[in-house]
Amino acid sequence: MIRSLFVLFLTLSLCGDLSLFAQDSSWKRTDSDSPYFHRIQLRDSSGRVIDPSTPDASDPDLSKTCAPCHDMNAAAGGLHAGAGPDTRAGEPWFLIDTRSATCLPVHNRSWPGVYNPEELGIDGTSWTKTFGRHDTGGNAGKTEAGSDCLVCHLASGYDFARRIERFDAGEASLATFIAAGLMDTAGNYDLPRFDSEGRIELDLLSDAGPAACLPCHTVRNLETTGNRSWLHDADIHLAAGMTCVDCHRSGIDHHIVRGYEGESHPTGTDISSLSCRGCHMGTEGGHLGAPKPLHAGLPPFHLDEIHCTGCHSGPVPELTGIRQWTSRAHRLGEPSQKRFLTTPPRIISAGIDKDDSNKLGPVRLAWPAGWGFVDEAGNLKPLLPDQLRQPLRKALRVRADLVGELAAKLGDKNATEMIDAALLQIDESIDEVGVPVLITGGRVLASDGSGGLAEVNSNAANPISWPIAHPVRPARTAVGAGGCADCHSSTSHWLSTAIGPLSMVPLPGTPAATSPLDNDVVDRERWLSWSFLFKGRDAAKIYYSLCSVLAISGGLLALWRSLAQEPR
Amino acid sequence: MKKWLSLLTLLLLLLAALSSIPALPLNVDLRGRWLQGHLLVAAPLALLIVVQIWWLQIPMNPLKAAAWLSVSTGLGLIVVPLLGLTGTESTHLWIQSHGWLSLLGVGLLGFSAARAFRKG
Repeated sequence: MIRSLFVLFLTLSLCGDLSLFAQDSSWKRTDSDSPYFHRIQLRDSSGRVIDPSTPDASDPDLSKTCAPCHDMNAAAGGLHAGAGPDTRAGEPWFLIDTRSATCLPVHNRSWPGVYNPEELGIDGTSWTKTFGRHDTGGNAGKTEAGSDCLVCHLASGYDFARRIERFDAGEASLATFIAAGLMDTAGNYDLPRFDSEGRIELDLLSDAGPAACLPCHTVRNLETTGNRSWLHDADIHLAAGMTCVDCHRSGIDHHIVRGYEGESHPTGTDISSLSCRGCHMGTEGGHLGAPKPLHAGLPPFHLDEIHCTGCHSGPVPELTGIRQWTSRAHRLGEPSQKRFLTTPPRIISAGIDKDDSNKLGPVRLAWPAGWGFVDEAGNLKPLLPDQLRQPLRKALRVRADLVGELAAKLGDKNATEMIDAALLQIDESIDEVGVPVLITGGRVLASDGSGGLAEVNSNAANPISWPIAHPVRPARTAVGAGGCADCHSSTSHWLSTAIGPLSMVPLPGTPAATSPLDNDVVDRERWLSWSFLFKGRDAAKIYYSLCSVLAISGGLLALWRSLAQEPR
Repeated sequence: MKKWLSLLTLLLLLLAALSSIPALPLNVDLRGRWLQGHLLVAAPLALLIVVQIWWLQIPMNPLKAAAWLSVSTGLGLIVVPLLGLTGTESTHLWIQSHGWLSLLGVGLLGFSAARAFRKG
């Protein structure tokens, strides 16, 4: 009996141990914090090892190359690849065409004001050619180039500019290998990099540092003169030696944590400690030595009504209305002499808006532009640049740059008559329901039938916005570091600064500009009354201090006297 | 004159208490228009408390004196976060203590008045 029990115990123990060893048995793991040194062989689309020294060596396939050790199905998904819930709005892609003055926000996600690529008729091939340069791909993505692991995980030696070249040339399939220097543009392997067994050394890291993220996630402030600002500081976290993925974490599934308050992770994991507030103020936070802020003198309800980013993110408030370039919108990473202050899209940072939780936070704003048909309900069916080519050429006689060529033709005149003619031509050439319109400068304009233009009631020209989180500024440069008057004074102009679009086409009338006070994001009356009250704040401190000292001392004296006078 | 000042002080104390009701439930804190109203009442009230204690020299029994001391301490407690000497999280405690002590003072004043009324 005892022997049977012992055998059973041994069997169960062994099974337990085996199950432990068996977990994730499909994928090799080192389970060490030290990075695995990748000296690997490339594989082709059939999964066969490639001998690069043979003349007929087949083309490599990144997914198959990584698959022996990594769950590529999981790795090619996740939020980063466009899978999972839509969650809070982020930066859209911008379909830009200078020949038709088109600038349309596009994204697979259902975010407000953003056009779906399917709706616009953008197929995978067109998407890859237009946006693939900054799209790392994935199962749920639109790009046909497949998931590019190297662009994020190759710690050094990835030539992003070369990647852009290949995508622009419509040759996306080998772009990652060419960018990583494993092949030349003719598709020949760089043989000196391979050893005698056809293996190549790649410095691949799960966290390749900020340089892995910045090619697609750089945001650059522009001074009003159009110069590139060099007086700004880096994000405090990066300056402190952290990397992006210290907060924006994920597993192999690439459901990368976005890090905003109230975010719910697709896997159901509790990620509350990875938001600003969760890490710096939450009981579960304190990751990597995150300091707990004191916020001395700040009335607590401010933290209920304003996101941490409201005071700590984006350009400093004095520069509100600052124009920005972003990697994906302005093709950063590509060496270019043709990136100007006026290069579309016009993205303005540090507006402030309320989100779904009714909290204030900074946002970036951008305005759509282009042509389309508006139906009776005011809904826009935008037209793609290819559809516009022929009618615009016919009506306006422009070839390469509608905005530039019109400006040159018109001189000081405005383009009303020409736009009217173009709208009539579009109506004649394109069979769509509704009224043909031009969207520019925050307005939707249609022909008035007598050679002029009339505004159409539609939301199609409204700005789109998405929250700002970076760069994060430390306490000394946060809003409020200069005292309450940073917000509560008539000179805190960042709240009253009106931000508006610019018309890409010279037209009469001024595009409407609004401030957070104009559009009721901040209650104007309340803000003005607090600004007025705060003028006397220093005097009030002295007044209340004196009153309280006198009152307490008088109260103590009165109590002492009354006790002394009480009959014993 | 003294009587009118005393009545005005009591009225302002009641108004201050009423205007703080939107701060309930606890940890919500007074904000917006109600806070402005509370401050509007508090500005003259602070002076009147001092006047009440130092200038009017009303004869006080220990209960009444304790009531005024409570109100005065309540005033003193709110000055600490006002001067920026507390962090945001502890400010909640200072504000709540200000509220509870002030209410205690108002309650004691009422109790003292009721007792005096009963005594005739």
